[in-house]
Amino acid sequence: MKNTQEHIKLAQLLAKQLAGELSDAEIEQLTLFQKEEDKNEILSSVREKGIDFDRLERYQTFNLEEARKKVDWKIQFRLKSKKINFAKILRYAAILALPLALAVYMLYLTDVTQPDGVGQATIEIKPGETKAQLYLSDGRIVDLEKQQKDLIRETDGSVIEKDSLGLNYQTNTLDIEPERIAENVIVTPVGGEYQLTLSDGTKVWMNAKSEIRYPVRFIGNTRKVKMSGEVYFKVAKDARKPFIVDVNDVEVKVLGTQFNIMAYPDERSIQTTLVEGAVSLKAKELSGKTTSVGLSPGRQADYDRFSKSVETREVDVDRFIAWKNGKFVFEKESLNDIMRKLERWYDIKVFFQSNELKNMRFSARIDRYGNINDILEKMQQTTNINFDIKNNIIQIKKK
Amino acid sequence: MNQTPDKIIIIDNNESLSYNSLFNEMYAGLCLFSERFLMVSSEGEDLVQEVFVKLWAKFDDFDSLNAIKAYLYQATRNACLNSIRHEKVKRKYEAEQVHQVESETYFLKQVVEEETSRIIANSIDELPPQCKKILQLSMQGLKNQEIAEDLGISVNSVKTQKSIAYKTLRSKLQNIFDIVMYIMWM
Repeated sequence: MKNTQEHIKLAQLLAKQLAGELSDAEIEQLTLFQKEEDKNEILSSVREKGIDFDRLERYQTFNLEEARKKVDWKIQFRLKSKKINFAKILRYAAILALPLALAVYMLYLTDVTQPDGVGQATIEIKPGETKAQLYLSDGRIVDLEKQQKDLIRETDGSVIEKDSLGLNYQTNTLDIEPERIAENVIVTPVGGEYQLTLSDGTKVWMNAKSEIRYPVRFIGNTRKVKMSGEVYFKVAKDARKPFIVDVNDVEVKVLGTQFNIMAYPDERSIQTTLVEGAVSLKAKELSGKTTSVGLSPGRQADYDRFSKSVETREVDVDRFIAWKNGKFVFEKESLNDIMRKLERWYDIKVFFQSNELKNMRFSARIDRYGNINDILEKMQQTTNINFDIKNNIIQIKKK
Repeated sequence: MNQTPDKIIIIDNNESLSYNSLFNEMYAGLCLFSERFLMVSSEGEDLVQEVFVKLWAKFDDFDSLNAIKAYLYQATRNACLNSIRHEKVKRKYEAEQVHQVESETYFLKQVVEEETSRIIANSIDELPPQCKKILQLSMQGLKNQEIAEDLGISVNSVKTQKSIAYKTLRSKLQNIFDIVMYIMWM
């Protein structure tokens, strides 16, 4: 580094000499440099070669504005990954702020006379749909909606195929240099879901408000992806290249199997549910140590974010992967948990009049693409609760 | 997407340096510099852009212009070498040629060549057109008489223009030199 800096100084003196003349002090500096054998050698060889004037013209041929824009995209793209973590912190903060917001909201509402019943909405609440954004490695953002077929070209030369089913990374036959393999990110918004096929043939289903980050092609000894939110994986078998899902604090390693990971930042736990095959799961404990557990089909690992501990248990798998099959399946689930899922899918905001209501439990099996009113009406009929809907805000009260 | 706001740091003699101005000053030079290492020159711009992306995160850590320049040259060279190493594996490039390009001496020599011609290119570009032309011819080794004939002007006029060119150039190059002096006598 030091040496490089000295050579830069040398060049600066030389440029000055070539362009005009040097002052005494400058000559002295140059002479000092010339006493060093290696520098002198370089100096005389550059002098001998002279300045290539055809080459000088080329300095003006670069499109600086365009290049600066590209650099900017990349910078913002990198910053984005940091911002996501920031957003998580905000979401935690939001959980804490909720009781306060609720209190204020309640105060406000008590002054207003409430019409009874469901169906007072002026804006129709719609179920989620195929919707996501793709972040390419150069910072380009592509809106992914279901309609048109398309080909997207990555900076490393690979081609991503987009059709009505989702994205497909399998079509690449190009030999990409390992160092230049691009990383892509897909983000689904609230009320969005998306499907894609990774380069190894692994199929990925993304639930609403989720994110997955993966290389355009897997190189090296592992296939590694990062995610948050809820994602279902059907991993293509490759015994020599384990597939690893990195979810903050939890790492799931598989060879070829199907499983669901639910890791929403506003949920207390990260749940990994195994459908078939086998997975091993590593989780960071409170002590900072890593603990490993294995899962067999039908079992679920539940990592508590607060106590940082893992428990495994037998579960009804269908219930946890229902979303992927277009259903909501609730089994004696608390109204609080149910509404959080509905919030992500229907893009609604839910407020409870009392905590007691949050703990009411319901069982239901409903179509995810159906109207939310159907669900709410059913619940309203069988219990003493009332859903009050204003635009996309739902207030839950006792009848 | 909105443009990221510029970053400004204080360097050397309490002077301020903005990321954007550094980008404008160094980008073309680094792209041309990358060609000295690459077998396929077209990818140079990509690599240099990547270098600037990395610089963005580190920019605040620097306190001297030449340290940043040294970093830029080195990072560009490393990116190029990484790139040709893969090509070497793939296309079985002549090992000898790659070996030479990888050497430290080769690197330093390229830095001197590039930095010299970059400074001159940047300075010349700001001269009035006639001055610029005369200076270019003079640097190519043409005598005043030959330049005068070439451009169809008098020898005296060549002399006057040349002295204006040198004067302007020197004052431009002086700024660079001040930094050099500062670092050297520190």
